[in-house]
Amino acid sequence: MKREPFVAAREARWKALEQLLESLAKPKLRRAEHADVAQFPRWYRQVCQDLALARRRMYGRELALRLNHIALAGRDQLYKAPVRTLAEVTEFAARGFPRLVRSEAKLLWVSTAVFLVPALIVGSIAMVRPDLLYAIVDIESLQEAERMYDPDSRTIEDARDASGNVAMFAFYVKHNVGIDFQIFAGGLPFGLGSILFLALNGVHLGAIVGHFLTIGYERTLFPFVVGHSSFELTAMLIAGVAGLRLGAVLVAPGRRSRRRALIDIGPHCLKLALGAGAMTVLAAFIEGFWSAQPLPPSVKYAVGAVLWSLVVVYLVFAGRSGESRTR
Amino acid sequence: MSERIDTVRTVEAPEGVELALHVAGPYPRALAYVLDFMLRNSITSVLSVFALAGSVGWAVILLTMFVLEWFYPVVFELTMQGATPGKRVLGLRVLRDDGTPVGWRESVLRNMLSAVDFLPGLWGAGFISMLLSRDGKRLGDRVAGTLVVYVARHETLRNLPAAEPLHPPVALTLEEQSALVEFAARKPSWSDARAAELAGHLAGVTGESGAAGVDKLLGLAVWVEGGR
Repeated sequence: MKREPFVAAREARWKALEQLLESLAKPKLRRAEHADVAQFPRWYRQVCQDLALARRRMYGRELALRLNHIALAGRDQLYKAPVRTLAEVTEFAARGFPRLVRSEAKLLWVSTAVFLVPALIVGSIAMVRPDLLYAIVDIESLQEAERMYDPDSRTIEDARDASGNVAMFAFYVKHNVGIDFQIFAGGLPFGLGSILFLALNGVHLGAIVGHFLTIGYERTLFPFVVGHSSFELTAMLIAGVAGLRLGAVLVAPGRRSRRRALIDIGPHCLKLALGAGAMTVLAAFIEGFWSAQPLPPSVKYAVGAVLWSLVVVYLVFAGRSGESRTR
Repeated sequence: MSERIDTVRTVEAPEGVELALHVAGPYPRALAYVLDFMLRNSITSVLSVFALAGSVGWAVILLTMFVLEWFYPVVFELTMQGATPGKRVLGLRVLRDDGTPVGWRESVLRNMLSAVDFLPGLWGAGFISMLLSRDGKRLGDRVAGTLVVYVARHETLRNLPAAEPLHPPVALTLEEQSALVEFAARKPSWSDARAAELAGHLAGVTGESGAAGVDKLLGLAVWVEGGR
């Protein structure tokens, strides 16, 4: 077939598809309300076929470019990502996320060790050889923490009113969720960034706790942190898992290319990181609105115990029924 | 895959045809980033008036900064056909590797990992990754499986020097066709000797050298471009 009859036979259909695509690109109407929308998949497949023929038969670049343009626009509409529904999000929170975390149980222990071992070492140094502590952490941040948690001044509780709580909540979201995401992203260079950030956070925590135990400030620190730490620390460790998995796949991709392995594991790690982020938002809520309430330590400890059990029960048992054993 | 002469990447559609995408390099992407950076900063500075509203205002500022920091590109990539305002100005958009529109997973992933691309400062790692990648991918693009391409615009025909159309004796691939057209389109900017030298590389195929070889290539290019 010559070029001219080829074009003549199809021109009307191409025009109609072009018009339909133009109206679909402006999302003023719902999809079903566009005229001819029922024809769209068929027209799109036909234009793809026309393009293949036009190239094969070398009807000229002009025609090929035009059909390529129409086909790309059609592809955009046909393969547009569906919108997530609220039901999918709740399903993920109720079952998907804890299952995901359980599937990475081993790595969760690794992540915990990377965080806890430096914390314990620095914590013991702080208690046994306090003079060495200042070689590890900078004095100013330690002094500031001392001012905040001074049992005689009650700074934590007095400095806040109701609106102050909102601001603190926002601050914790920005700061702590940001740390989770950093820990995750840091996993890309062979997991090194995740390990570094987890260990540094461990050092920081170990230094504060060890130091406060020595000077007797733990009686303000512990009641304050016991509640929100349940969600916050666990989430940070899970963000660590997300990063470590990303790095592990790069170190040992198995029977795939590294390129392929990274793309395959990406969504898995992303879900872990986003779940960790959501947990941290919850922690920020507790830290902003509960942790600084002027209540007796016994109440704080009781609520803390409930929150910690909640986290453990959630991660261990949620979504057990119907869970497949294989990964 | 053979070495490519341009940044066109072909993706195979399930409909059985290859579609051509123009991959964008570091330079337009850097410009787009600068625009986005400025826009982001202006949003932040406008927001600072909320500080007057006390702690609740601060909460608004901090939460917005958090969203801007991690999700600014995501919001636009998902609602504005894969382009942040900066990319839109530069005529760029984000697609999946297979040329379909970017989804929330890919978008969040590529943008969360941009924290690594930025290291050790000023997008060093991302830049090196882009140079090493056939498709100009920064690290986030590699993990998310995304491409940054020029928005498909309806390309018009190039202005080619006049020549008698010449029917090629064999079917030419897309790459060969574009090579011919690019040669013809650029020919006026070269000296005759330079054009003859370049055409000489194909002497074994065209059977002509010197000015005759150039004319033959021009003829083929005009035919390919649609002249009959």
